[in-house]
Amino acid sequence: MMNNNHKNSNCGFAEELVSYLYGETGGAENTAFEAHLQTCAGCAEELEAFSGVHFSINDWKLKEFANLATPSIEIPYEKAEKPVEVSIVSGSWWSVLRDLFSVSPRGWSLATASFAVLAVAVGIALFALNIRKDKDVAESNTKSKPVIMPTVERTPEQSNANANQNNQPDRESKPLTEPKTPQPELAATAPDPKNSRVVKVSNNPRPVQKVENPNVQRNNEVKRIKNKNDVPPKIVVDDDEEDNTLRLAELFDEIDTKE
Amino acid sequence: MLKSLTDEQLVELAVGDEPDAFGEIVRRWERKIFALCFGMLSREDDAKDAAQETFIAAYRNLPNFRGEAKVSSWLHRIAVNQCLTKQRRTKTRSETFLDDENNAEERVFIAPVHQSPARITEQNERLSHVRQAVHALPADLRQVIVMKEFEEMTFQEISETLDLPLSTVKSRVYTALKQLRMKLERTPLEVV
Repeated sequence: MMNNNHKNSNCGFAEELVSYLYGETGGAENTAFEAHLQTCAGCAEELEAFSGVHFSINDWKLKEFANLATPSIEIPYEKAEKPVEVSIVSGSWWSVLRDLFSVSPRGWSLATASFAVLAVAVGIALFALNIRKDKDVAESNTKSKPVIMPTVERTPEQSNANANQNNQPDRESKPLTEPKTPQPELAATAPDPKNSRVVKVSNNPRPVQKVENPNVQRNNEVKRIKNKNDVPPKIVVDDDEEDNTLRLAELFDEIDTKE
Repeated sequence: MLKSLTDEQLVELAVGDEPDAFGEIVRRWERKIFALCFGMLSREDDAKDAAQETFIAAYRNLPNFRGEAKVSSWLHRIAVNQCLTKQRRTKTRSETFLDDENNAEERVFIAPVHQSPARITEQNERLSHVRQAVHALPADLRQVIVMKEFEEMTFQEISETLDLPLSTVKSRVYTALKQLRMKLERTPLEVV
């Protein structure tokens, strides 16, 4: 039975009261509080009331909670790990870019094979283009008018020195022969068939077509001119250049007349 | 091996990507946390949800656990916050809660066969009043009384868990008991 006419425990034993109620007092404290209860009606009455409350709550617990099974706690481990990944990873632009272009090993092998095929195809195309260019250059050289450079008189020492230089099996001498081959005067001044320039060029099968033909043609032409007239060849100029020289001559004439 | 470790060591392992360590923490504390949630919310379903959410929140906040407090204190704080959040949500449907209280016979314990229907009804009403009285306590008082009654923690353990002085804990328990006594005495039901 609960008593509504209870008093408040103002005697200063509140803490001891709850400790005694829940059995958490030591031997000496227990004895001291029991002695106090015999002299304090308020504490005795409050202890009885609190015991009733404690019993009621315990009853509630036993009847509604004690038989309940503990719920199986399911922790979403994978979901919880994602934010950590995202925080580490946190979507840096580099990782996003890397993921975008990430290729499997099989993809890499396919890419390598296709690149090799492409490289071979490009190489073949370039080779074919190079051959075609060579042919075009050779054809254009045969078709074009021979440009006769001013003749340079060379002493026998110089020609011998040239011959010595060209006879050396130096790799660097090869490219020097090609630009110098179109000079017909060398052949004219040194008509010796053992001339190093002609020999050098004839050793190389490719330049034979593009270099020897114009040389031979020009050499023959120069020989023909020399044999016929022994007159230095006239410089053949295009019509446009001739017109310009005429105009310049007229201009010079005008200037002279004005002066 | 994990059973011999302290809670703090388990948390360190769990932070280092060891799910089994956190599983051990769950096994150690799930019953007590469930009891706390049941005492705070007075409803089984809500208590289950709150306990589940407590451990999920704890797992997600593992990297933020700095070890300044005990793991038990940390879990209790999370659980109480989860309960208060859930209570605020259910307050909006408080009428539903009261309706449930009126239909308390449907969800309380199954009485022994030898008890008469009148006695069973009386007991159920008594339990319903206790439940409502505890539920009506302020959160700080409810927490300590639930920890004392449902989790059966000592005053010293409650003091350490809540990081409160021992005298404050005892004082709160005293005040809670006093308020419960007043609420229960207003309902003229005899203690069985």
